[in-house]
Amino acid sequence: MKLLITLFSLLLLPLTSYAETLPPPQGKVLLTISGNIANSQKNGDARFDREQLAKLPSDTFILHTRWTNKAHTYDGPLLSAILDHVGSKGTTIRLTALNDYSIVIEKSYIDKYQPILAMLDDGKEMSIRDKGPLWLLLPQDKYPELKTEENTGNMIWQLSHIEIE
Amino acid sequence: MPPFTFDRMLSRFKSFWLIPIVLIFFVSALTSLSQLKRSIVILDERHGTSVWSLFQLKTELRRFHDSLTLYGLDNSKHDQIIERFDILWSRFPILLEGEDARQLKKIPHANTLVIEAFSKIKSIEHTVIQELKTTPHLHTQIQLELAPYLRAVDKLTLDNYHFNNDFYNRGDKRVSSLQKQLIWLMLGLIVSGALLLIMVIRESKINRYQAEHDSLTGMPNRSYLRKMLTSLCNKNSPFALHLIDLNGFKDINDTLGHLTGDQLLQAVSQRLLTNIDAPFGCMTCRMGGDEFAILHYKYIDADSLNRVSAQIITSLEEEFSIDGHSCFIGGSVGSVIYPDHGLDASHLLTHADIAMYKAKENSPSSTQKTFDFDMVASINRRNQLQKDLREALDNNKLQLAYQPIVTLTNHSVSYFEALLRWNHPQYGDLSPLEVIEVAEQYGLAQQLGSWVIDQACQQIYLWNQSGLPLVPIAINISPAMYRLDLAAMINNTLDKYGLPSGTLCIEVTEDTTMQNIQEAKIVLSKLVENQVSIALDDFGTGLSSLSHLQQMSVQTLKIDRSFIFDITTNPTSNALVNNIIGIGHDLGMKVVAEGIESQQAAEILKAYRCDLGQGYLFSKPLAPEDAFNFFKSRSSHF
Repeated sequence: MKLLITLFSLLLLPLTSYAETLPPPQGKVLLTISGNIANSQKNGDARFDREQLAKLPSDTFILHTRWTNKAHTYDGPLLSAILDHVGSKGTTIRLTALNDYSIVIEKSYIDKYQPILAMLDDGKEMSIRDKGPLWLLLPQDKYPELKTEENTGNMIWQLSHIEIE
Repeated sequence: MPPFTFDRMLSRFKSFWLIPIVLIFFVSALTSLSQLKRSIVILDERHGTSVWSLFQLKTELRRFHDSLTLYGLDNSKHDQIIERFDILWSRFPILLEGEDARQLKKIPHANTLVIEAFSKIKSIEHTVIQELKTTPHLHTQIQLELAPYLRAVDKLTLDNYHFNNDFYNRGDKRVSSLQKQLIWLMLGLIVSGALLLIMVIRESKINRYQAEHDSLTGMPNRSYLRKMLTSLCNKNSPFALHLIDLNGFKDINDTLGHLTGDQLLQAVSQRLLTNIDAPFGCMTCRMGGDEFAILHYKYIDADSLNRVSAQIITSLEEEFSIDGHSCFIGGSVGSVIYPDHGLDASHLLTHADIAMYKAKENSPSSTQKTFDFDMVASINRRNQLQKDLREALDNNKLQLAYQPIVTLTNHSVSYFEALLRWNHPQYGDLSPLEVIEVAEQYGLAQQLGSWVIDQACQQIYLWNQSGLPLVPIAINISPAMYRLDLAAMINNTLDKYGLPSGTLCIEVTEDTTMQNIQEAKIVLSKLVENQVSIALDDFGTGLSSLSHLQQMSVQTLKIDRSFIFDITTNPTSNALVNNIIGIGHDLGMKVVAEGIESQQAAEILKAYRCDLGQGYLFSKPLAPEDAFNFFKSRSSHF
């Protein structure tokens, strides 16, 4: 009996100390994270609705991207905060959009530049029609080197899926 | 005057070329900058992002079209249709705003097509989102409506691709043409920069030349000579240096003006160049003022030195004809030899200076002196004396000795001549001449003069207090004292001791008086007005003319000792003395014979009716107490 209890405890230990079950999304799923993550929902993925994402640490960028005529204010959770939230253990991150456009970036790149997944454009929720619902934005105003083609190409919109490798 | 014309030409040349060169430099630099900026802009232009966006639009149009076809087969997934529709929708604003829109506007009708296509999408929104859900077969109708836009966007996508491809090439061409221009501009920059550099180097060369050459004569100057001397001293081979001071230059400058003076200096330098530099391989420099220096490279021995210095003097003594004036000058030359007289430039120059001053003592006649170290000793002695003389005057360390001047008929004392005595602690008894020279040279003459006047008056007063009558004393006047109000000075001093006028007499020499005849006349006549008796000392040896005797209101004539000492043996002297006495008497003067040493001479002079006598026969110069006793012994009244 004692042995059984010990074994059972041992089984529980990794669950309680290294992984936790994330609450399931209540609303429409905006983002699905899969791969090498510690925290997930039942099927091993971590899915988020707008409300859940809005609770995470966020940032505001005021950017004039090449797709608009003037500067806009963008709000959204920090990608690093999302990755922390899901207990990401990988170093390479693949981000995929609704139209299957995808990019691969390193964890270090995210740590360095702290991009956000913008949900609000000038305070307005972004729909698919406005590059929403999630748009990865780099702080081009703070780091001029982010204005290159390569970095601009990393600003993936209509983001729907993140795969941690 | 050639140097000025040359300078002016040079400066005109400079201002003429400098402006265009600087202009080319700046225009090239500025144009290069703007060219560079333009190249950067061209290279920085983002081409082709619209190509990507149009391809995306084309793809999404196709995908939506395809999804409609699928929907026709299986109408359970209306959500997917909406998502595709939204994604398609999202492609339009990208092409209508921002960078891609700007690029697309360069293609005719592209913007219009995108706007029309977007309007079509907007117009079918309700059908897609609402009606299609319940009426799936509408998808064919939508596809039909979209069909022309599919084709049009396909075409535009390709056109845009080709346009941008060409655009890249055009950009390259523009950059390369800019770079070709840049080569010319760079050439302009380099050439004008090099020209500027050359001008700066030229300018600094000219500056260096000007710093080392005299502007009036164009000759090397003192600083250049110094440099040359230093480099020659380092080479260790012997050479000589002659320092020249022109004699009589100041007079020409004063009387004929500075312009003539300058022309004379130019003529002198020209003559030295021709007569000395060329034949003897020397270098003439102008040291400033009327001082020149000649660097004698090829010095071999004293003989070669003398040849050069003799030639210098000969050259300077020849007539100079300036502006129709004929000028005669000369030169005092001081020479030094390396390494005998100094091992560096400073010592050589100082010693040459000393030698030159020694030579100058013979001015106005031209002399050359080669430096020797005794000159330093004599300079040092002078220096020491002038320091000590100040101190001696302040501390009353000078004395006056009194030599009696007696009446030849009865040998009673008529008056005393005061003679300056200075027993120097180091050099012993100094001659009055040297003391006066030092005083004159170092500006102590007036102080010395007033000391002598005071001392003499005090002596008259003291003797009078001790029971003698008021015995007159004669004092000697140095040339510098003619510049003072001598009469006022004497009167003040006489008043100070309560003495009547006439008790102090003045002895002047012919030489000093004739040097400043104008000043002397004024001072002397003022003295006469104040009843100061004047004696003309050393008569017969100086530069006087007899007419001066008449003009100068002298009461006493003192015949120089050189006529007296051989009066007994030399008939000429005898005759001269006799006649001088006669002239003196005829002019109403008393006559004193100096330097009487024998009874025989005294007898002759008495016979010639000379009034007074002075000399060792009667007494040498005496200390005040001895003079007092001498007076008493010769005076029967006491």
